[in-house]
Amino acid sequence: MVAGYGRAVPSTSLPAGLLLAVGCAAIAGCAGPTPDGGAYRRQAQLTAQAVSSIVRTATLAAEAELDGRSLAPFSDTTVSDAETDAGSAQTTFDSRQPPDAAADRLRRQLDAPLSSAVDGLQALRIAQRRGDAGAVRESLRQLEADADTLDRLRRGIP
Amino acid sequence: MTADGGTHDLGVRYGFPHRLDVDRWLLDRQILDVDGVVVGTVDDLELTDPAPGAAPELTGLLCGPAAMGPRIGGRLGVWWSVIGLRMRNTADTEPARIPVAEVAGAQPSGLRLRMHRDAVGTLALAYWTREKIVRRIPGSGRPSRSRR
Amino acid sequence: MTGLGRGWKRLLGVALGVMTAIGGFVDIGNIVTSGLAGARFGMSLAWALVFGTIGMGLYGEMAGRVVAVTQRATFNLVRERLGVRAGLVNLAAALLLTGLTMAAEIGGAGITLQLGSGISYVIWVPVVGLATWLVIWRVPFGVMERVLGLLGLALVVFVVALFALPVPWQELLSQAAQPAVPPDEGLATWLFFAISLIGSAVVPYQVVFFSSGGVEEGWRRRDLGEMRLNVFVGFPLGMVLSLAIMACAVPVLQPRGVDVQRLEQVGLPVVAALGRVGLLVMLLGFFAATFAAAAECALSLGYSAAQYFGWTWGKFRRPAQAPRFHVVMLAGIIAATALMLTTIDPVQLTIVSVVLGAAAIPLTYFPILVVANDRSAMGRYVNGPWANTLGVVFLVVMVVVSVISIPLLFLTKAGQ
Repeated sequence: MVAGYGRAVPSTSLPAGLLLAVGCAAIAGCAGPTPDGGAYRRQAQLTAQAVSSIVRTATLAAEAELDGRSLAPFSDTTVSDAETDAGSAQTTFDSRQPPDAAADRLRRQLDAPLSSAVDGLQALRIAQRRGDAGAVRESLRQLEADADTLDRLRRGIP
Repeated sequence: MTADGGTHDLGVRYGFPHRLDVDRWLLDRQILDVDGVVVGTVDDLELTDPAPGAAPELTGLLCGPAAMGPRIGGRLGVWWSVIGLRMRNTADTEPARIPVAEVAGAQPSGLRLRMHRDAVGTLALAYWTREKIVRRIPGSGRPSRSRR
Repeated sequence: MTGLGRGWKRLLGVALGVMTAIGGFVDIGNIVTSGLAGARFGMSLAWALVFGTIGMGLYGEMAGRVVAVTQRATFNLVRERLGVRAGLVNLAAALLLTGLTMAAEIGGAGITLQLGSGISYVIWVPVVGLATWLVIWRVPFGVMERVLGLLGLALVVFVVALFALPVPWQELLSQAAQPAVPPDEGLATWLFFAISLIGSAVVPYQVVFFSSGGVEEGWRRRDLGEMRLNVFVGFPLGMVLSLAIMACAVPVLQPRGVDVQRLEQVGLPVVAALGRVGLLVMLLGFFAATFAAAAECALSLGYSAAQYFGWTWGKFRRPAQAPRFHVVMLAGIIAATALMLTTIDPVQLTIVSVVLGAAAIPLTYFPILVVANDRSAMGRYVNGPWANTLGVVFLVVMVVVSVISIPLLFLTKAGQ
């Protein structure tokens, strides 16, 4: 007789669980329909915060470039990435359904600084690549103002 | 040679206890051939009844997917055995077997055999990947360094 | 050569080893999580990094000691002590996590090259993947470890930057000494990032790599002193680099409300403090750290699978002598490169992989603790009471971390 000497070890499906977790985490980041005003306000807050953070990242990089303290590829990549990220944050927010009149007002309030920030980042990228210091300074002033507006709006959202 | 109570005398050297707990000291340990090259792990044990009613004896070490599959169990275990056998490229459905008499002893890194690796029969996949993939890439025959 | 000359040479070798361990400790996980935590939570999560490093040191020393005494690396122990089934689950988890981490490292190296060249990282990713494979295929283990580890020391630039920045030292120290959740952050988010920092210090692949590297370099009992020096001096100094990355973010990024979503944001404080030269040195450090880690991840994939299945492995062998080992690594590098080419966000991938890595720690560390306690295998090198007490406490905490990490991942949407 030849007998197998197998140990019974309880089976767990950890790899499957991990895969599921990664998948869900990826999906959880995507936008969906917004059911109520509270969630919409939270989304507005997050968007304002994210875009303000992105704008200030770009201004830090552009200021260093202006002072000759950075390297062109680094500043350019940082500003271009900021432009992309701000655009996608705005698109995600715009795709949310405002549930009521209060949400409509919030949407209108945020729209101007968001659009101005996205346009400003584009202008900054163009000016920086051209090496046009005057235009860079102009964009930086505008972007600082946009970021301040976004921060003020974010703090004002209940 | 008996395997009663899970202990077994294997004539062990290098300061290991003489009576071995087969579960702890044999199963899932590395196997090295006569030159010290790793040829596999102890995926299962072969126990043989010398006579009806007598205590079973350890007669061999089993290696390879055909031995491992049943221990994994379930559908995955079946797939494991079947795919493993396909890759072995022989009609034989039995796992590779090393007679106990071929085991020279235990050393810290694993069990040392008296056999040469080619006689064990666990390296078919290694040879296949070597010939079909690794050897086709330039530089496969040169060592990165000599060992200290 | 005279005895004195040999003594100096030995000292130099030891110092080189420690410096390698410092540079080798930091990878994309440390860079991202430290920068992120500093910008968002100040130094209030420094404890998590310290805790993780203590655990990494404890278990790195145990794994290294087991190798020096028994020549058995981590996944040999996993297979031996957990058996076929639990060992296989463990292997699958390790391969998946290490693969994800490798993808993040390759992405990080690619982005660093973009930051230095202006050419998109998508172009660089396959180049980095190919270079990783070439290192695995051709470069001797010692050369790989030493050269990349020493280049990784360029990250000392973050320590230098700290002294050029207006750092509120008093405030940072009190934040680190008396950790508390910042007023505008939730406890769940704070804990989530604590886990990510612990995970960045204890990533499972590092123990697999460290112990298998010990086999590659032929450690014996006489090398224990040197190994301990690497662990107990090299790792903590590596942690100091991570803490410096965290602290640099506090005066520059936190006041501006910059939330780290991209690698370049971690570098902004160095640019602000040290300008061009600092930026160049930092990019060199980022590249060396991530590229070295990509190669280490690839090797860890090969080591784990080969040790579990009983295949011949080792970079000291010709590839033709360890064909399955090399095939696993090649497949892993291709898969990780392909994953990065889907333009998945490497920063987000890093965060998810360090948190899942923290969750998987008990799986890898438990067998090490068991074998290090086995007198019949270890003889007089068996664990002492200190190693056991601290090791058990750490493992218990990591089991708790493991249980709460995946719910936290969902609850905080990976820290958003």
